[in-house]
Amino acid sequence: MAARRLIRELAAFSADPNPALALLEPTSSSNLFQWRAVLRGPAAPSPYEGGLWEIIISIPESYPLSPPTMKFKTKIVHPNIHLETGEVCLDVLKSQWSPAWTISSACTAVQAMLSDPEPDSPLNVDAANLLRCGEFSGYNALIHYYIITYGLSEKEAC
Amino acid sequence: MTTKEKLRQANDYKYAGNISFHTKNYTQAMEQYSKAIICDPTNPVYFTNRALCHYLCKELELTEVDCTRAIELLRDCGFDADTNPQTTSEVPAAQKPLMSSLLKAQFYLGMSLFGQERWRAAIKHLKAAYPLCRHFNDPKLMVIIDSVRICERQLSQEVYERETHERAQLHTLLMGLLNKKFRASCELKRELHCSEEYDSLKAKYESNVASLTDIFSQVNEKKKKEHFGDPNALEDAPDYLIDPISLDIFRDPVITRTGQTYERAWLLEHLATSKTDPMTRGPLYASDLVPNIAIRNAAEAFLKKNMNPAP
Repeated sequence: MAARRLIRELAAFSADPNPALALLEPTSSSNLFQWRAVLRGPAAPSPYEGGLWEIIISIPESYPLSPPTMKFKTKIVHPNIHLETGEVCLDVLKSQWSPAWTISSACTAVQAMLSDPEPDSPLNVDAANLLRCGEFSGYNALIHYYIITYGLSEKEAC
Repeated sequence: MTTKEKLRQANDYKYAGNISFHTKNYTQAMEQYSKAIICDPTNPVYFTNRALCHYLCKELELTEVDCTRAIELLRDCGFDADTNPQTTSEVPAAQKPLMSSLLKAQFYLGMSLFGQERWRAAIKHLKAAYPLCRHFNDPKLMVIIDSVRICERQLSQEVYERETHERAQLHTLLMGLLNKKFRASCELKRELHCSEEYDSLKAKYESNVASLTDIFSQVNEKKKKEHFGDPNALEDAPDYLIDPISLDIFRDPVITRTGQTYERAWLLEHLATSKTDPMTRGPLYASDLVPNIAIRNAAEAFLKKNMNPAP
């Protein structure tokens, strides 16, 4: 079922693209179970506005009964994203997954997570601490620095 | 040995067979079930158990023989292919093993026929197994849906290939006739010494050949669409006919207490790991599900109109 559903999802995405994504496609034509997405930062007042990050999505054979795994390939500072591995800690990609989600809608959830961090279960302790101490200007500056240094350009995204 | 002793002996062999089966020693299990059958050749369970061993050893003909025998024996007990489990949801506990045996017999018979590429017969038995699987909430529902679909497609393909072949023969025949007529006219003109008309005759002949080829290729294209459906039809299917889990057209939709509709097989698979409604996240149990007949009819009508109709 997984392969058939992924083909449908791909067709649905090209017919009706998701504004949260600059790109969504399988990494190679031979393997339908690994996709790459380029996520857009949410609009201001989010400090992530204007950012573009590549995400590698690994899809299990049991999809959509089991969730996909998402990892940021582009470095990003966020309390719930590991700075080195790019691992994402998001409930809908774990215990709260439901087969009614799609790859595209899960990406929207990741975009929403950027604006709505959960500093109490951090993968990036430094970012979480800045947020918990109310150091917003430092937090925003750090995010911005990483977007400028590592973020993709529009050209790279396509 | 008295009859009673024989029956007990047969049951002992079955248990020995089951133990071997669970350690994946299918050949040994098969031997034990065979001994059980010798002691008691009337128990369908021994036949379906042995059929499963044959099936797992890829001995499709033998699977077919054992399943067919089991179905005959079950028919003698009053269980036939038309047994509708929906009306027998209150089956006495003692009859459950027989129903489960009928499920296995129909399913493995269907799968062995599928493996032997006997599509039409495979569809019949897989479809007979479906309501039984539904009764037991058996995960084989998914395999049945997929296999039946493959069978239907293969049947459609066979019909298409046969018809295409016949059309190709007709095409060749007509081409031959055109050619014969052209040659005969040329011959005639030559005899009448008006060979300058040869060019116009040739042009006419060539245009006839081209039209004929065009007509045949149009027919082939049209027939192809009829048999294999329009590949874009599924994208045009309205959302209410699409299962939110598999994103496929509904075959056997069920409705939940909150009014959400899902494909039964996939929802049951989801419920096996999480007893929640995928859309609302509310608690949901397999016993809460009711068939959504209106949507099933709408989906069937859509499939019949847009995709390959079941022959």
